[in-house]
Amino acid sequence: MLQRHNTPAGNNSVRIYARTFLLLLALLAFPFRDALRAEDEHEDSSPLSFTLRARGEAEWIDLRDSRLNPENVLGRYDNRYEGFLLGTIDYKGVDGYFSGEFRAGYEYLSGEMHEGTSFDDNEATLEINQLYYRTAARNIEVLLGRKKVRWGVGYAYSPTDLVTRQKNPEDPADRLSKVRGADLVGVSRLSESSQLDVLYFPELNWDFEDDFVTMNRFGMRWYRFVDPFDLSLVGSVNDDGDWTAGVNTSFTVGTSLELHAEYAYTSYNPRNDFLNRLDPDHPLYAYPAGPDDGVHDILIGGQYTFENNLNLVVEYMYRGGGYESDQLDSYIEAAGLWMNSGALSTSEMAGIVNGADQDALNAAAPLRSNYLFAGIFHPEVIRSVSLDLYSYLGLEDGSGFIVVMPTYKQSDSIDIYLRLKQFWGDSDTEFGLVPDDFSCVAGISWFLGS
Amino acid sequence: MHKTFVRFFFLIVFLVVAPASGQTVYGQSPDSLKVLPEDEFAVIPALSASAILRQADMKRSPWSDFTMLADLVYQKRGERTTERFRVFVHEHTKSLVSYLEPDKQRGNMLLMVGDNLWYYVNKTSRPMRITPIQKLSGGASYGDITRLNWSGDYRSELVGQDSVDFSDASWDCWVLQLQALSSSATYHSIVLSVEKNTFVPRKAVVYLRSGKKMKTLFFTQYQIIGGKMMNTRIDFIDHLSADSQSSMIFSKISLKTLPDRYFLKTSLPSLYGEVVY
Repeated sequence: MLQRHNTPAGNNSVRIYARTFLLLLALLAFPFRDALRAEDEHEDSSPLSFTLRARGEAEWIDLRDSRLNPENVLGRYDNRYEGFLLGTIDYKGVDGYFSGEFRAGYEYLSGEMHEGTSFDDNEATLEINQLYYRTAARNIEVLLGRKKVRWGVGYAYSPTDLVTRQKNPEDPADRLSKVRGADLVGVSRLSESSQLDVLYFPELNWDFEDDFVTMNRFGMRWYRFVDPFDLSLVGSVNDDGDWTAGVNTSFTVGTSLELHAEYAYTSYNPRNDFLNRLDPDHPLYAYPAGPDDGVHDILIGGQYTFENNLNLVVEYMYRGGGYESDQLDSYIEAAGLWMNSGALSTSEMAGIVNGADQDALNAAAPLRSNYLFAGIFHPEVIRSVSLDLYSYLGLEDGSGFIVVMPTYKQSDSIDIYLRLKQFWGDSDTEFGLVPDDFSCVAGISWFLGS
Repeated sequence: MHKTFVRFFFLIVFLVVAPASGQTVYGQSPDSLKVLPEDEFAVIPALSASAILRQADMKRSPWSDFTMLADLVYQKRGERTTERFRVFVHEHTKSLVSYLEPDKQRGNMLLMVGDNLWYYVNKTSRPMRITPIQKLSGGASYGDITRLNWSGDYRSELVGQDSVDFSDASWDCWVLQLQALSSSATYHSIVLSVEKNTFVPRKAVVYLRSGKKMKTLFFTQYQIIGGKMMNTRIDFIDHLSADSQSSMIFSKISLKTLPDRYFLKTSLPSLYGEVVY
């Protein structure tokens, strides 16, 4: 059973601040209500607009005997069939603007256990990725609802994205539209060359079991454009007193080169945060811990566009929460012991495997510290075919993965693509622990209209 | 006596110098552009090269703040394709372009502030810093739609005269050689033909840094709007893509004072309801 890390005094003061913030927000918004008319009446425009897109994928995965999943003892799928509809809706009214993004999907998974037993699973989902209301008057904006908020400037990963889930090196463009916005209330003040955002973005329990607000969180971003630099200072704090502060910048050099950098300091280690939430008698409590102090995250990168429109992106990432070599060895050994001891259920073991998988791909709590991302994009390598190619490399152990994705633009509405992904690394390396070896995805994206 | 001598002296000087400053102009063949040596000029324009360029700029961006529709028409896979944008221009140096068509790009935006460009993809909710070399579509670059002011980006020099022909029309033009003042200008160099009496731009040939001829722009249509003449159509020939042709057509031009927050990168995720229509 997981326990929350509780500081009652801290909870009360943050709740007071949250309620005061909401009250001030209401008082601030009300006087502007009569002034919140459309700045101009747009001819030939409807207040309501929507789009609908369908996407389908079939994936075949070649598994390997990872140390965390020998002979697929955990029953990981090797076939995936997925289809979803993504809809957006925008409505201008009530002196403001409503926007929503909805995802309705169906996924079918199948695979084979080590003893030859087949299994399958399926799931239908309906997700509200975004649904928010925004209103503005003069230089003040007010925002309420669920919205994706991106403060970072990195391509594959952004340590200064403090509000919405961080970017994913395995799928930087979020092709499956799985990134969900944060539930928030915010106010922004804009000037000619700067913007200040203050957000309240709590963790909410939409199952309505126990408390609806499970964690209070505040975030702030101050942005300023100082020609030619974009500069942002960001920060966040939660109920537990955990905080993050960071800075990012980007600028261009000449006609072809763009450079960007981010730095963030987090007062806790995300990997240890997981451990601190466990009961001492939980089997995973002996999980090897990373550094106890706060962690530093750094991103330095750039993109260069050649005259033939080829675009190259290179980023270096330092993740302070990662393991040292000896800690990683302990982690692998401990995981192996757990696998063989029978002390854990299949789902708990799958959690370890998925933890390694998600660590490697989603960059939430990485296993190591130094990574290199490189990507190439060309909008038309041959007629009607674009190409995405990118790779993620762990610099300590040389393991990583590469993705190649040619896309054929069959028409203005239909894209057909192939996505090939290959992991590499020895069995005691970060990406060598991931149970997947090679995967092939055939997909189609169809813009149904608006 | 002294004054008479001085006046006689300056008269002699004038009579000697004046004929030497006269220049002869030779006509050009209609479909070619030659740059003549300086001593072959017969008529010196009343304005300097930079003044001519400023006059030409006024035909592309007559007002400090305005909005317009821009339709980019080009051939794609043998079919005529149209992309539509709404352009917001502020203080001559800031532009916001919102994508209207095709539908799957609707809501994307391009922001230019001085030499700085950002591209916003509606789906990602994040504006990205981009470089001027990145292309729009067809034969057009981002700068063709956002940077309507040559004077701020290029150094100009008057190098000759030319007759520009397009379709059934022909114009006598001054020829300006433009060199980029900074590496952020859309093109490295331009040979610009400006109609003599009206200072209306008629043709621009743009070159890459390597000296390679990149494309030719013909400014083929103008309209009187609010008492001012403005360019409303550009026809492109892309020499890097087998001389493919495309056109940019401007319409629904409206004078409008625009708020500063339209031209701030961080506000792009919030502008959909105001600039996409």
